[in-house]
Order: sequence, then C-alpha cells, then structure tokens
Amino acid sequence: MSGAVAEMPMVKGCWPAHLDAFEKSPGWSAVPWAVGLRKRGSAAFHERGFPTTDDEDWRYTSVQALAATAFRQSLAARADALVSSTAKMFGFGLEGGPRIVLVDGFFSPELSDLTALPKGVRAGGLLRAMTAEKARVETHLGEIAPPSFSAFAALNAALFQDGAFLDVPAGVKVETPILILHLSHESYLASHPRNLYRVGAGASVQVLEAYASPSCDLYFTNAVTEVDVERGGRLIHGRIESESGNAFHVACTQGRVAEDGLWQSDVAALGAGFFRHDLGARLVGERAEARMFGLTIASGKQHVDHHTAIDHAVPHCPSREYYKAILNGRSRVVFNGKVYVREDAQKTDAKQTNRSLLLSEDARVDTKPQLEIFADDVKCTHGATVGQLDEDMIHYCRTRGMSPAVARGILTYAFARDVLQNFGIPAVKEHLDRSLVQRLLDAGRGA
Amino acid sequence: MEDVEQLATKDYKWGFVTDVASDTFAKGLSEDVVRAISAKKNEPSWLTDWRLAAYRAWLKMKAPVWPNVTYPPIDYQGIAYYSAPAAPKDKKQSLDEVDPEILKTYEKLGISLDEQKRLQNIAVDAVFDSVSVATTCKDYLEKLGIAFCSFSEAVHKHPELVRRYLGSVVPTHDNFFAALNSAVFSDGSFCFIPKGVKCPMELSTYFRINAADTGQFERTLIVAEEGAQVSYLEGCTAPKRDTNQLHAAVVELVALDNATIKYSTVQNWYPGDKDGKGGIYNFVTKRGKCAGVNSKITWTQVETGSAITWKYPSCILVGDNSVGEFYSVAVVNNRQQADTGTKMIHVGKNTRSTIVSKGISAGRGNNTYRGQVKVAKGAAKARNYTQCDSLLIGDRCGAHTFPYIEVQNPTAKVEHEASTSKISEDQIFYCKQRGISTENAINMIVNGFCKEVFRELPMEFAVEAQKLLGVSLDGSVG
Repeated sequence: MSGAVAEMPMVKGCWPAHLDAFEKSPGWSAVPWAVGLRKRGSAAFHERGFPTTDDEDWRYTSVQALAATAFRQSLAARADALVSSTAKMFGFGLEGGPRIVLVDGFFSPELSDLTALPKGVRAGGLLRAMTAEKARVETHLGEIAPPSFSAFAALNAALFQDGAFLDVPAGVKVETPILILHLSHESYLASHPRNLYRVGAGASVQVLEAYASPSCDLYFTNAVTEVDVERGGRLIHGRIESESGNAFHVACTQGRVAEDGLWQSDVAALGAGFFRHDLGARLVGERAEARMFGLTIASGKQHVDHHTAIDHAVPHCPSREYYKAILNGRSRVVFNGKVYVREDAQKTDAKQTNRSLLLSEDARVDTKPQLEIFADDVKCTHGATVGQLDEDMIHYCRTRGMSPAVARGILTYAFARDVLQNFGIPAVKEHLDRSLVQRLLDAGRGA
Repeated sequence: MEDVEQLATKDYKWGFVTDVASDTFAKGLSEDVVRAISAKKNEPSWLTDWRLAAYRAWLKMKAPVWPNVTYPPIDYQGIAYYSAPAAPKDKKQSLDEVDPEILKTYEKLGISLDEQKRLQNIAVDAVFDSVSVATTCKDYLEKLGIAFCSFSEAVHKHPELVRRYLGSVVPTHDNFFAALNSAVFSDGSFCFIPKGVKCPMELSTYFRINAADTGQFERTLIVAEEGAQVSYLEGCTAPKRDTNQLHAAVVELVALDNATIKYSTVQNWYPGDKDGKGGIYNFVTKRGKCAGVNSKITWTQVETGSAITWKYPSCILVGDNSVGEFYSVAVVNNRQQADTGTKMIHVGKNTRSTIVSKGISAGRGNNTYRGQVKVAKGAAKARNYTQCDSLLIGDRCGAHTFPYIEVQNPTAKVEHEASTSKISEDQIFYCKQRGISTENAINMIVNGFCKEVFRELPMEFAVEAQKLLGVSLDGSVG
C-alpha cells in the first residue's frame, strides 16, 4: 500500500525465443483452427511480460527466479524405457484403473490404459482430440481459461502441444476414478500441458489430475485445465501436485458450472519448490455448486501460492471453500480466496475458511480472503486463522504418556485430516491419509 | 419493504456557507506556493525545507490505483492550497477577536467555543479552512503541562517537539496524499501530554471547510509521553457544493512507555447529492506508533460523510506488550464510496491488536474494508482478532472485504472473521408487531449492528453518532 511506483522493465526471460522457435515448427499449425488461439496467447505474453510483485495478484509471489531461468523446449514427444517403469510408480491409490499418462506434456498412448471406460466416454490426448473431436474441443479451448487470464495462461495458449482430453456424454456415470498422470523427467525442460474436461448433462465422473516426477530435477510445468460441467453434471476433480522439490509449477484451472451442476476441486499441494495455482469457478446456472478443498504441506524453501476465485453470477448457488496449510522449514504459503457475488445473485450461500499452521520459526504465511458482494439477500462468510499447535492440547497428550514429537505429530495429523476427509475420491483420500501419516512419522523420527 | 425505501430524505443539515472575507491563494501548486504557505505561517527554515522535500518527492509519485473506488483524475492545479478567514492578523488572544460570523458558524454546528462551556469537559480547537480560529481551555490545560494548540502555534511555541516528532510516524514520502499534505499542510492540532499526566478532559478538533475550490490539508500530531493518557475527538463538516473538494489530512500519534491515546473521529464531510454530484474526497493518512512498552492506541471512527473515503488508521506496535485497537462504522449511501480499514503492524513481543469493522451499504454505495495484519519475525506471541461485518440495505449497493494477513512468526495467533447480512423482513415484522415503526425498527437494528463500535466512543459522541447514522440512512433503507 505504498504510493511510490517504480517503473520496472518488462521481464520476458527465454520465452520470446521459445515462441519464435515454436512458431517456425510444424507443431504451431498442426491444428489449423488453433493458430488463432496461439497467436492471441503469444501477443498477450509479448504485451504484458511476467507479473511483478507490484501486481496485486502477485503481491506475495515473485516470479523472478522462474523468469531468470533458461528452460529448454521440446518440439516433439519422446518415449524411452525409463519412463514406462516410472509411470507405474505413481498410482495415488488408483492403481489398475483407467489412466491417461502424459510425459513432459505429451500424451503417451503406450502408458495409458483406457479400456475400462464406459461406452461413449472419450478420453486421451488433447492434440488428437483437436482433430478427431473438433466440434467438442473448439467451442471450449481457450474460452474458459482465456490467454488474457495471466502471462502464464498466455504462454500456455501459445506453446501447448498436447494435454489430456476427457468428454463424458450426457447421462453417463463413470464409476471408476480416472487417473490423469503428468510425468516430468527431463531437467530444465519447460512443458505446457493443456487439459480439457467436459461433463455432459446429468453425467458424473471422478478425475485425479496428478503431477509427479521420479527425479529431483529443476524443470517447469505450466499447466492449464479447462472444465465444463453441464446441467446436473458432477465432477469430482482431485489434483495432486507432487513434483520435484526443485521444480516450478504454475497452474491455471478454470471451470464453468451450469444449473444443478457440481464441481468439486480437491487440491493436495505436496511437492514442487515453487507452486502457483489459479483456481476459478464460475457458477452460471441456478443451484450450481462449487466446492474447493485444499491441503498444503510445505517444508524446506517451498513457495506455495493458492489463488482461488468463485464467481456467483446467478441466484441460488452455494459454494464451500476450505483450505488448510502446514508449514515447516523456511517455506512460504500464500492464500488468496476471492468470492464474487454479482448484482442479481440473490440467495447466494458462500462459505470460505482458511487455516494455517506454522510449525517453524522461519515459515511465513500471507493470507488474503476476499469478498466482493453486490447483492443484499446473501449469506457470505469467510474466516482465516494463522497459529501454531495449541500448548494445552500438547500438554493433554503428554499427560497421556506421549512424547512431545508424537503429540505434535498427532495434532498435526488431526489438523490436516479435518480438510482431507472432505476429499471426494475415497481411494485417493486413503492414499493421502497414509502418506500423511508416513510423512509425520518421518518428521517425528527426525525431531 | 417498498414503503421503507420511501422514507423522507433528510437534507445534509451542515451544508450552509458562512459569508466571511477570506484570504485565499490563487489556484495552483508549485514550489513558490509551498514557500508562500510556509512564509504566511512565518515558519522556521527547516520546516520550509521539509515541505519542499515533500513536494519534490510528491512530484515523482503517482496517485494510488489499488483502492476500490473510482473518480475522475484530480486536477491538482485547480485547487487553492491556502484559504483563511481574513482575521485581524493571525494572532488571536481571546475569542473576542474571532470574527463573530465564524463563532456563529460553530454555534450553528453545535460546537460551542465559549470558555464557560468547559463544564462539558471538552477542549476544542476549531479549524476553519486552512487555519485554526480558536482553541478553548488552553490556559487550564497549560497548568497541567499539556500543550493543546493549533499546529502553527506549536511550530513557534514548541519547535523542538514538533521537529522531533513531525514525520516520525508518517514520513513525507509515505504515500501520494501524505506527501502532498506534507508539502502544503496548513494547520491542524497539536497535543503534547507530558510524562505521567492524565488529561482530565476530552481534547477535540472541529474541522470545517468553508471556501470553494480549496483543499483542506490539516496535520495533527499527538504525543503522549511515559504514562500519559489522552482522549481526542475529531469532527468535520463542509458546505454543500456541486464540485468535489479534496481533503488530504495526516494524523500522527506517538505513545511512549505505558501511554494511552484514544482517537475518535466522527467524519461527516458533505457526501454529495443523491446522484453523486459534489462531495468531499477524503484521502487521509492516520497512523499511530506504540513506541514504548505497554502503550496503547485506540482508533474509533464513524464514517458517514464524504463522496469518497480512503483511509486506514493504523498502529505500529513497536513496544513490547503494546496494544492497538480499531473500531469502525462506515456508512455509504446514494453514490458514496468508501475504501477504509486499518493496518496493524506487530513488531514487538506480546503485542495485541483488535479490529472490529462494521460496514453498512445502502442506495448505490460501495463499501470496502481493507485491512492488513502483519506479524514481523520478532513479534513473538503476537495476537490479533479481526471481525468485519457488512450490512447491505437494498440490492444496488456493494460490500467488499480485502483483509491482508501476513505472518512471519510461528507463535503468533491471528484470527479473521467476516460476515455479510441484510436486515430481514422478519426482523422488521417482529418490531412492527410490537408497535415500533419501520423507521425506528431499522434504526434499532442498525444501531444494534454497530453497538460494539459505539460503546468505544466517548458518551456524547456516541449519542451524536447514533443520530447521524439514522440521518445518513434516511431515504435509503429498505
């Protein structure tokens, strides 16, 4: 809140070169109708460059280190033996089920398994769908998360080469959760996966979008996911971020929910040295519902930034948001949750809660819950707390014979479980629960 | 609910103009104008230089764009930066020498400058446009060692104090409007409460803008030494005019060890008419520094006026165990816009802060709460509790909440809660059933909503504030 504004030179890093190189490669115009979107993305990035901390949306997150890194770009997919074995390492509780696997941003048919999906469900790589399912893709791509959204969304629109595509037709209920696994395994590589999920009227599906790496390399994943839930559709959308501790991960997930539809987003932020997630839901039909749950466990020098927005554009929509963070080491977590209630969105019922647990001297939390309300007959609340473990509770555990480390572990687990139990895919919830216990046990042993 | 919206609109009753000859500078701003203001006040050279440094810093700054308000760009050359009633010299030994027209003005505003009124237990400094016209109870306070006078007088009588504390809380380059104020500030109040003294009466300043096309840039400085206590009140009104007028004030509070300062404001500048024509732009920087251990600063504000309010009374909690409090009621009606809140910067150990903010939006008004709670690394066991509630009356208004919570110490505990609600037909029906008219029912509900803040105000002020709230919401409530 200072009046002094310093003129900053615009920072673009290695990206003008990437844009140039890609524009000259066959990938740029492989799908002719998408060239317009790519051009809009390229122009938007050239115009604005990277955000600075003077930018209100980037006040607590500096992209300096990211902008200063020279990343490589990959103009075609590669597959090797190493990858097929590592792909099996990551199941997140959904082992053996249907899976879409992407390697460094490219769809891998060999590693994916889509045999068990019900009839009519279209799933696979986005690039192929852009030609084969043109009518289903063209109306949505770049419309729900436009290139103008941010510098990163602009880069993605220009540079994406593939991603995951899922289309569940009206009335189809997919019983088994689908795993969409994005693997990164090349150091200094930048990938820009772009995903599109459509859930037809009355259809329902559970999807786990996971980002992982077997390495501890430095690389950059710049993902965009667009979600469209039609009338009465239900999408339970898990997202696990489990990238290398040295990786940069920027994600933009935007969804549109029609009347009586439901979109539930469960985000578990566990990995990546730098993670920024812009999650936005637009409720465009009456009784559409958005639920956003988030659990962040950060340690070391991790920087995790959650920016969420729920836009109540019409009356009678409920929304629930519950984000929790546990911070250790020198980690830093940012939460910015916006709730908009438009002029005619009467009877809106919005509730947002954000809680952070600081476990170390050097951790830092910056929270900015935000309500913008233009209608009077609404119920909107938000709450935010930042604190440490309650000394009284630790004392209670100790009087029952627990060591300080065990007491802290149990209380930390309870803190996390409170949000975890809301997660919508049972198998994933169990997997996260188990790995959380393991993590706390390890931490306890370390202490 | 329709009939409620039809309730009679009461006029802004403080909107009259006093006809006095005035000594007003030509419009425009330059180094010469800054020098002229300084010369007019016969200021020492260090202060002239201080103003000029602020002016030069201001030239390089841009007006903030982040507030959630919209207004056409202000033409800073279209404002007269100094206006004073043409009184016989600046010196006024007693009230007899003050223009009777001005005395009448204050009488009409309900502010008595008569020394006899000391029984009310309030000492008043009356500021008319750019200068302080009268200060009551000065002699009585002087016996206690308390300095309470206009700022220009303090520059001459207490130069060492002014020099030590001026700009120590809000530096000249702090923000765009604070820099502008530092360059052209005209007058304001100065209070100094020496070590161990508890000020026996409420000190108050009443600001009145009278002249047209002028800006008011007052500067208030309150210093409470070790163990001192003071309660200070501020009130303000302006005539009704079709053009917007700028009010950019700076208030600095300094509390040393064990000192307590309570600062209460009832802001009732002209809010503009129903269609948003005219009204005051109230762009104010208020900040207190709890410099000593166990010190306490409380800000209480009732904001009903101004076309646009941009104001964040803040506390910098430097001393260990120091306490910062902020209680606010902000009302917007018609086309008013308010972006207001507070900043609590926890630096010392065991520092505590409480924020209670009540926003009421009616008509086409937009009300924004913007608050920052920052816990620095060394602020072990810092504690903050924030509650901000919004009440919406009608479906064309807006309520916004932008809290910034920044915590760098794991032993800190910070809580923020916010809610938004409206006056329900059930509540009104319940009251009507018991024979309470709709108007009174709404007044009652609104007052109940604001109770937590009103009870922090000195009693006479609380009564005024309740009445003011009723008037501000008239004609809009539905």
